[in-house]
Amino acid sequence: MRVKGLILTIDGLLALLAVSIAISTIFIYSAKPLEKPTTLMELGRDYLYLSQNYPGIINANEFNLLTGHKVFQKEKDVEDSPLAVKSVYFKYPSICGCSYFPCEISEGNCLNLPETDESDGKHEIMVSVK
Amino acid sequence: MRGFFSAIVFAIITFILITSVATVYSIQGREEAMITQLIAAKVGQRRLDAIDYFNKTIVDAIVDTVYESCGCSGAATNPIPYYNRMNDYFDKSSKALSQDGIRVSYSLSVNGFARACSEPDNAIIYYSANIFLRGVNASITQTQNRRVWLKTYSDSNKIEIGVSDYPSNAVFNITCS
Repeated sequence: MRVKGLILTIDGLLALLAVSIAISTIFIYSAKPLEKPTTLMELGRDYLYLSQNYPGIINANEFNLLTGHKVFQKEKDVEDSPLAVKSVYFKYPSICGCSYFPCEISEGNCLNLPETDESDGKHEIMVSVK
Repeated sequence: MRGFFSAIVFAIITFILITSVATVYSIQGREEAMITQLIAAKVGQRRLDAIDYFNKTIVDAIVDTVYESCGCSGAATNPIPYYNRMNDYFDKSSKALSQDGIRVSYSLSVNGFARACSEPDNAIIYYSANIFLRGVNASITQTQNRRVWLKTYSDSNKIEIGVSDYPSNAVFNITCS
């Protein structure tokens, strides 16, 4: 009885050990890499910076080719993605629409009011690994 | 013999328990670290945007204020009532940047506006702004000297307002009605 009890105890422990290792392994390998979300966020901001400051220089397909990731305009488009983050880029609107100088303008509202309000200038995009 | 194995069994159980608890805390720590990194990246990006955004804000505010005070109407006000206007512009920029849980605020001091009309061709506006991001020790001090000029032409209905370093000079030729 003593030997049998000991064997059962060891068996139980071995089983518990195996289960613990299995669960730990699953948790550890299922944890997402630390760098991934921040990398996606930075790539998304770079994409927004380029597309807002140099129109036409990059599009979603080229972004995909360069990075292997995808960009989407709306959150609902990435619902089936395993990992997606939102990137935000703020750009102050051009003053009186002037993109180069000297700039010819006429009297008008652009010289009386700020070019931005609380919503202007904010550009968002979703970046996903899929 | 049984006593010997009991000690081993006790050691193994203890080891498994500690390992399990450590694993759980390790996973939680990774998630917390990931969230911290995301917030840091977000704040870092927002800081870059805030610097650029506020730099553009000051140019917008300066041009509009000089135009309204010394521009087409020629009605020079001394001193130029710039402060409320500047703050209005900066308040709007702060609100625009303060989204997604990040709060951006500022403190501003401007010198030289009082002479912008009386010495239009060589007016110098000194601009100093401290930009603060939500409690993350990320305060930024941006001190810039900008030269602002106003030119009028007796034989034309145009005026010129210029601001140095936009990053290059920003020159607006304004047609007066």
